[in-house]
Amino acid sequence: MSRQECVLVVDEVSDTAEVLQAVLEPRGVAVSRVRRLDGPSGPVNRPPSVMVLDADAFGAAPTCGEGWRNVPQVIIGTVRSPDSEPPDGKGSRTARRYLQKPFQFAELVQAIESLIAPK
Amino acid sequence: MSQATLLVIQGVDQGTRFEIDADEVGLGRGVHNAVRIHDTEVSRAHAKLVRANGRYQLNDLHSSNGTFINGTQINSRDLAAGDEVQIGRTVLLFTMQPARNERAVVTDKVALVAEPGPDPSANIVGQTSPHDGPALATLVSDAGRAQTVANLQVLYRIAEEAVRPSNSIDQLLGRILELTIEVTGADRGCVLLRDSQTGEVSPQVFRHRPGLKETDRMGVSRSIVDYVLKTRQGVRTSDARSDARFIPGQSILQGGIREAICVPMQGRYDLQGAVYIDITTPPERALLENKPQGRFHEELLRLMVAIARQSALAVEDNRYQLALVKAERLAAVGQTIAILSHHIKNILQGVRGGSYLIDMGLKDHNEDLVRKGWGIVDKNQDKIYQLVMDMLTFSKERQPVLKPADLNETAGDVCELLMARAAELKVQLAWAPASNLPPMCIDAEGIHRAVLNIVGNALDAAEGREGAAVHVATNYVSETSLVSVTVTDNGPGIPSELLPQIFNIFESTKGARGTGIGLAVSQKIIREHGGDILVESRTGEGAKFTLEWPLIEEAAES
Repeated sequence: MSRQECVLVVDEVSDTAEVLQAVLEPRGVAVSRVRRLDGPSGPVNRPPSVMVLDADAFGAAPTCGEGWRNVPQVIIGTVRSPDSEPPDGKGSRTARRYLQKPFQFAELVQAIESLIAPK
Repeated sequence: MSQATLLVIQGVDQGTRFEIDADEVGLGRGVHNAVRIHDTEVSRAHAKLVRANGRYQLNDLHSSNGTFINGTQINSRDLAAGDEVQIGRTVLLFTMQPARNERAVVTDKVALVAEPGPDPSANIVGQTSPHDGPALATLVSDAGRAQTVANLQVLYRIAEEAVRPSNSIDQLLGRILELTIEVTGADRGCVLLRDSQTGEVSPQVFRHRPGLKETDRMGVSRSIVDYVLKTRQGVRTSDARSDARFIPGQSILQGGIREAICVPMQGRYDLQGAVYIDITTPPERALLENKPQGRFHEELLRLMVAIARQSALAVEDNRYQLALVKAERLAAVGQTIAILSHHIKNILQGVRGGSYLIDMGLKDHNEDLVRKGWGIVDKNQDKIYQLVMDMLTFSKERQPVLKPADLNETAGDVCELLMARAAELKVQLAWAPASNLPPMCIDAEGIHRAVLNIVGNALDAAEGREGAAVHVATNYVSETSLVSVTVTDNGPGIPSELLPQIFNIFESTKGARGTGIGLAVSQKIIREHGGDILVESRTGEGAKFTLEWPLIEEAAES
C-alpha cells in the first residue's frame, strides 16, 4: 500500500462518521468528517480514497475541483436518483454507490470496501 | 353545547383561534387572559366574555381604547355568530357552531310536497327571469323610483351580509334569509340547495318572522321548485284561484290564502338552488276583502331574484373558500408528515449505527465498541425525546404554568446540560447569570425548552468556526421591567432574507440537523409570557437571539 486509505464523510450529523471510524480505523482506513465541502470546516487538502456524501446536506452530488473528480463516492440520500446503477468503476465516470435511508451499516461498510478494493 | 370560538382575522395574532370553553373568558394583553392578544393598543384586561344559558355576552372592562362589535363601540352586548369584535388594532371573528341537530330541525320544519293536481304552474301568478334583475334599476315612474331606491338599499344590506366572514354556509344563508324576511314581510322562508353531483334539492336553512306562531311545517311545492330550477325563472304563486293545495286537506277557510315566491339561485357557474318565501293571509281577512289582493307583488319578485343571485354568489364563494382551506390543510399535513418522517429517519439511522457497533462489539467481546455504539444510541434517544417534547409544546394540549421560579437556575441548567455537547462540537460555552434578577413568575419548563432550543441552535451554528463560542446571559432592566435571556454565537450568521421565516414551523436552515420546530416552539413559549424573540444577525458575523418578556410578578390563578 503506497499510502494510507482514507474516507471522507460529508455530513451535517456526526453519527455516520463515528460509526465508520470505529469500524474502519482498526482495519487501517482513516475516517474524517466535514459538515460540507464548501463550508468553513472543509475541504481537506488531500483527495480521499472514498467520499461518503449525505445528499440531504446539499441536495445533490457536489461539484469538486480537479483531482477530486475521480474520487469514488457513496451517496446517501432519501430519493433514489435515476442513474443510481453504479458504473463498473473502470470507465472514465466516477465510481458511485447509492444508499437509501434508512440503510443498514453493513451495506455502507461493504460499499466503501468495494470502492477501495479495486485499487 | 355549541362550541364558540374567536378567530383573529386582523392583527399581530392573525390566524390564532381561541376556543371559548369557560363561563368567563378574559380578553386582553395581560398573561392571565385566556384570549391573549399581543397588540399594544389592547389593554391588559380589556374585555370579558361571559357565557350564560348558551348566550355569550361581551363586556368592556373600561379599556383605554374601547371594545367594538361590528364597528360600534359597546359596554356590554350579546354576541351573535359572525360578529366582528375589534379591540385595539385586532379584529376577532366570533363563531358559534350550531347545535348538531340543526339540519334535522330544518328537514323537520320544511316539507317538500309533491301536490296532486294537474298543473302546478296553474298557481303561478307572476314570473320573471334572472335577466330582469337589471330592470330593478331602470324603472322610470316616480313611484317606481322610490321603490328602486328602497330595493337598492335592501340589496346593499344583503350584499354586505354576503361578503361577511362566516363560519359556515348555513350561518351565512341564515343571516341573508332573516334579512329577506324582514324586508319582504314574509312569514317564513327557506333556502333549498342543490347537490351538484346528484342534482337533488334539499332544504338547508329555515327561518320565520319573529312572533310567528310555530305551527305547521312549511309546505314547499316540489313542482314549483322544479319548475323554477328548470326554467331558471322566479315565480310568484297564490292558491287563491285554485283548489290545488300545497298541503292537502286545507282550504281557504281553514288556511287562508297562501302566497309564495320561489326564485332560482343562479351563481357564476352553476345553479345553486332556490330561495322560497311564503305568506299567509288569515281566513278572516281573506273573506273580509271581497277580492283578495296578493301581498307579494311583482316588484318584490324582482327584488327576490336579485337577493337570490347574491345568495348564490355567496354560496359559491363559500365553497371556493372551503376548497381552498381543505387544499391548504392537506398540503400542510403532507409537509408536516414529510418533514417529521425525514427527521425521524435520520434519528433511526443514528440508532442503527449505534446498534451496529454494539452488535459488532458483543460478537468480538470488544467493550470499547459497545460503549461507542451505546453513546450514539443514547444521543439519538435524546433527540427523539427533544423532538417529542417540542411537538407536545407546540400542540395546544399544554397550558403554560406561571409559577415563582429562579430564571438563573433554569438557564443555568440548560448550559450545564449542553456543556458536554459543546465540548463534543469544540465550541466554548460561556454562561453569565444576572445578579439583579427580581423574584418572578415564569413557566420554568417552557423557558427551559425555549432556551435549550436557542442555545442548541447556537452551538450547531458555531461548530467548526475559528474560536467557536456561544455566550448565554440573563438580564433584567428595572426601568423597563423587561427580563431577558440573550444567546450570542459567532457562527456564520443568518442571511437577512431568511430572517423573516426562521420562526415558521418546519422552516429549517440546518439541513439534516433541524426539525424546523425548535424556533417556532421557543417563540410560542416566550409569547405566552407576553414577550418575543428578537434576532440580530449579519452574514459572517454570528447571531444574537434575545428572549425578552415583561416581568411577571404574580402567579396566574388556577
